[in-house]
Amino acid sequence: MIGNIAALAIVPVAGVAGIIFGLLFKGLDRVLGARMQARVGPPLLQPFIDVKKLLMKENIVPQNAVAWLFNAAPVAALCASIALLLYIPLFGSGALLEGSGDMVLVVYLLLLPSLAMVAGGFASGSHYATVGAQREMVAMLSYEFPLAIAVVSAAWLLASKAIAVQAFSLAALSAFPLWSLVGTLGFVGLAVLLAVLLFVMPGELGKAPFDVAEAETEIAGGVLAEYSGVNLALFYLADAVKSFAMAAIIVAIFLPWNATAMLSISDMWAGAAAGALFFLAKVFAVMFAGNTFMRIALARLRITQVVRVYWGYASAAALAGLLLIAAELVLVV
Amino acid sequence: MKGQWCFMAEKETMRHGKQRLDTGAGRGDEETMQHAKGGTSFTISIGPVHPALKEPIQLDFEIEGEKVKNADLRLSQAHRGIEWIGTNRNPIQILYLAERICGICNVCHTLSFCRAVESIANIEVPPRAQYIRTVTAELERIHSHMLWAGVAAHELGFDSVMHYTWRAREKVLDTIEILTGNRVTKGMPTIGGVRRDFPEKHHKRILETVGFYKSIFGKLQDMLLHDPVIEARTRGIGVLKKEEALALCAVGPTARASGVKRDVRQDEPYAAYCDLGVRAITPKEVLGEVHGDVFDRIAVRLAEVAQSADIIEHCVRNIPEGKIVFEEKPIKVLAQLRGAQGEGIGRLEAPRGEVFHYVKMTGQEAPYAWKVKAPTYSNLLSILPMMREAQIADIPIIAASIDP
Amino acid sequence: MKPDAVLKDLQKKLGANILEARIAEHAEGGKKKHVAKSIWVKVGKSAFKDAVAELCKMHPNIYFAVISGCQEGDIVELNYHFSFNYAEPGEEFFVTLKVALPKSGLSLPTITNLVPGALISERETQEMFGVRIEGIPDPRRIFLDDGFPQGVFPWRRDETGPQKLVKKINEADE
Repeated sequence: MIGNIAALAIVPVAGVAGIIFGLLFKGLDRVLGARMQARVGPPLLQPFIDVKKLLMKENIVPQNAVAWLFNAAPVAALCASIALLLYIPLFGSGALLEGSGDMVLVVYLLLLPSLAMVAGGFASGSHYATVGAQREMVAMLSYEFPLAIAVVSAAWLLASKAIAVQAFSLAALSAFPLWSLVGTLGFVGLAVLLAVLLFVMPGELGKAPFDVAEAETEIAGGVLAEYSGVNLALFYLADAVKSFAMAAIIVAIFLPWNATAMLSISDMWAGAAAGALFFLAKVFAVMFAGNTFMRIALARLRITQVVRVYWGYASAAALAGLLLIAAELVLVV
Repeated sequence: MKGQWCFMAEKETMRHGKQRLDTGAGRGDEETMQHAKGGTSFTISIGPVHPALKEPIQLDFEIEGEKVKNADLRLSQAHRGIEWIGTNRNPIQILYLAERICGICNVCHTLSFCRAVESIANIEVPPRAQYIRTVTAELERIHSHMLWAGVAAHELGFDSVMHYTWRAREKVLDTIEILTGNRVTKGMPTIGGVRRDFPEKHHKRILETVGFYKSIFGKLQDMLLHDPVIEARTRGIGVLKKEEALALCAVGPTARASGVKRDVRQDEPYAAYCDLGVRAITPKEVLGEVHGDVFDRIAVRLAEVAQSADIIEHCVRNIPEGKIVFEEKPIKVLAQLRGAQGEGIGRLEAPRGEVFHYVKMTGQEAPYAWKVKAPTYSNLLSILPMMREAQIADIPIIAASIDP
Repeated sequence: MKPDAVLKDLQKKLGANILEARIAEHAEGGKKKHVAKSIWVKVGKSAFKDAVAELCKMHPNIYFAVISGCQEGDIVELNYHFSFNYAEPGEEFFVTLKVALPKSGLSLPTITNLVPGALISERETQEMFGVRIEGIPDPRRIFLDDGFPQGVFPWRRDETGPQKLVKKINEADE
């Protein structure tokens, strides 16, 4: 692979690509959502227009806000989201930065944009934002457990079956697709874990039915209530990039197949193009199932219900998936 | 029962240094006082400008974590002085003024005023006009309840249902436009009758509209009453007990959802309702039991859409022939009203509850006194006990559930 | 209870304090007619609270609609509109208690201890007519803004009325 120094030079490229595809998928999500609600919806490129408009707007900092934290939070959120992209295998090729424990790192990096939002919310000095920030923290604590179980189960399965590789490495997951390592029991377990991850996705991204932190009809935008202009645009971009990254992570863990290898394309450019397209299709499928569909089909939950759903149902399902995999490992091996 | 409802004067102030109502009536006063003094609670204002409220009212909440500890209501954001303007106008001019009291229930206010004036001047309205009044009022009820269902879904963060119900609402708006010339402000009732007839060719259109709402009724029920998330969000939320509804003089679907079987169309029938035998709908008829929560209010309003459809169908099929107004020339109507003296009450069941108009005429061209009571006026106090034990997330849907 | 029974009962309990009483009827309807009855009773100021208490005794959970009123000369006349027999098909009728207050003594006891739902209306009467409601649990303004000038009562027709606040847009500013 490319050396680390060279990889650093590609960081801006990865950032721009992440932003472009993130916004594109956001537009697609809005159009599809509108169609499912029997509306026409905005043009596909509406998110780009929104960002352009926000970048031209005045940046208002409330009088009683902690200005430096208030302004730093959106930058931190966007940086953390872009940093995520560096560790995830994108477009059918490997990740820019690879290491032995990058899966653990990714799980923590996923938290950072949310933490930045919490900090920004508390720093804005508005009651709405404070309530939103509190909710965001509670939601974070709740969805983290099922997410961790799903990731750990995948790594454990990998470590048990393919002993030679680094278990917590996303590259290893791409090399040994999990589904090929298991029998029927494990297959069911993996399917359950995939479903749990798809269920965690809207919570992680703050989308309906788990958009408690922003709930515009309740707390008028919550953490983002006081944000405007460039700061809001940065949060908007961070959200787009994080959505893309989250879907890419699920793809990397559970759907790692590569079109180039499957179709045995020999030409390098054609192979890269096919790989990239196949990757985008997989990301789209995950986004549609975990984000758009859920958003359209369900009403917003109360924060107490969010906690109950994640700590109760989602955690129970994740544990069941883990047990199924464990059962197979014990019984079959 | 009235003891349960205590009004409490507090030294602690939320914002204006005066008294306020205690929503935590069930709990001890001490506890409430403690929270007001402690540092953990803070105040959130919902309104006068807030995405959840479309009207300029302000609700102040004392919040601790996510729980509502205390609530207060302020209304003084917009007072248009319509009643005062009305006492400088003649009754025909007031019709247009009354129509603009409330955008959605405009027929109700005009009709209420007409009925008050008719009872003073002893004007008899031709039966055909009564039927046309009834059909317009019921079309308005469908329109209002569909709009409300969409708003309620939106407050719950369920925009898909909002888009569906508002799309379905277009049908009745189009029909109203065909019948009256306007989509919302209908200008139908006048003193002693109505201003437009429903010709034979429009009957088909009305029946088609009614058929449409009957055909989607099952789907609406599925979406709003059988959805697990909506049920989880609204069951047991914003409970108004029957005793409280009675003590606070709640009206309309708010009172009916708490099990009070009152409906002006049933209790004091007017217009064509005398021929219909309308019965008040409570959750008992729809769901089998009464909880008095937000879910019940959704169920009652939905059932009333079906009821309205039935009423309209019956009226259109049985509409009598005859005149549509007792006197066509407004100038002659005014001349007759100038001789009228006395006071009268005009009331009827609007989509949100009872509309009440008091008119006093003293032989002048303009009425001497005119008092309008809109349904929300009666229901406002009920918001406060509903907010007991609520979470922030419940505030918008509870406030919306009385259809303010 | 029927309207005439209510009126008879009221007359028996309050005696000479009832200054005027009548039952109005108005028939309305499509093919069938419904005769809507309403009782209009004028009581003395001193007996007002007793009259409300009597009504509440006759009909538990009496429905209170609103307070209306007008000012004529030196008298402010308030009408308290109550309804009987709601929730009974075709039986509901209104009882209006009228009370005339001289401008020199514009005060009336609160009825919120009997009918809690009257609070909004009492607050409104207080700000719109300048009638002091004694013992009202919440004396703040309700429909008028706190910035609305003191001493102006929008429903009065005398010098305290809102006439001077009206801006005539077709006349030039002075």
